[in-house]
Amino acid sequence: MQGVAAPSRPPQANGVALVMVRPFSFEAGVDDVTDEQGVVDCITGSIRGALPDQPLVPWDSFRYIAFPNLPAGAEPRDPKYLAPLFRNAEFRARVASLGLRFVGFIGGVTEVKQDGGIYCGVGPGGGACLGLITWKKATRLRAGMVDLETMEQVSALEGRDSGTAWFAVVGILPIGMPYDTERGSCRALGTEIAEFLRQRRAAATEGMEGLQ
Amino acid sequence: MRTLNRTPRRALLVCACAAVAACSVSTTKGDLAPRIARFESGLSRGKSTKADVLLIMGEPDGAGGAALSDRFAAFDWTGKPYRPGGIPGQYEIWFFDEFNTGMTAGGGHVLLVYFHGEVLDGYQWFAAKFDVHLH
Repeated sequence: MQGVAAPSRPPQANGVALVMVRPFSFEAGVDDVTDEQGVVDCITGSIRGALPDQPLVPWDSFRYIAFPNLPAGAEPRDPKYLAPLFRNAEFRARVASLGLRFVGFIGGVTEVKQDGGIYCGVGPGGGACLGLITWKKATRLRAGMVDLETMEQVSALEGRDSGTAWFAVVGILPIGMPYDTERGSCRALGTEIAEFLRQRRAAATEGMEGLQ
Repeated sequence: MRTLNRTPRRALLVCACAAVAACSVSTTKGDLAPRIARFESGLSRGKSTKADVLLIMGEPDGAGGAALSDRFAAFDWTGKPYRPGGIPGQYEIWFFDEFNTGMTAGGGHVLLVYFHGEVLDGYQWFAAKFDVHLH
């Protein structure tokens, strides 16, 4: 058998795609995440920072290959509709070149509590305002990581951030400080996803070493 | 002089067209009609599955169920009794819709897809047109 190369194992797919699944909330003081692409880009950047060699498949690349005849936005995003597709052998063969293993279904909301007020007065010498408005914000982003080999959710991860934005008027001078909780929570979620992927890779490496 | 007169008129026309276009409202992701045509030509009742429907139509805009009269739903579309395990008359329904509204008129499509288990068992679609009156 010398000189004959052992049959090489097919490279293990370990790519990740992220997609926003927007929850619809009609609750007062609860906002949906509006900058969907911004959140996905932020999570992607965070994963890249922690795991530079992790293959990340942009959702659009998946969409072009998986659903070439569908207009943008019409493709299935809900896990309950993607499941029957990934159980279909023809569909799996079509997207195999992407090397996808996990899809992270991202969702989240921002709770906002507003306080304070601004009061204005006018007198003979002119007018002026005085006041402070604060917005206490708390964003929760969640990712359900679905393993495409089993079509089961293998992990539910969360990234949170909270802070206060404020706006004040002193006399005629408006001042303020915004606070973007979506950015903090998407970075935190990206770190969680990177950790999840690191653990899966370590477990896979241990499994391979056990086989040898 | 004519050129000078035409340019503002053209600009006005472009602005008017842009304003009308900006006032149109669409409820969905693309026109449903071509997808319904592909659905009718590419899928077959009793054979096609949910995966086949998703590939042509995309994600449904809604889902539900139907319990229809056993008198016509105890048999499948070929006239054979339902396979064992299937409950006659009970369907899962996927709902697709698309509506566009302009300044004076609108219209759209609705498609209902019926599944018995994982298998496509029937469909129906409607096209609607309506006038828009601003009050």
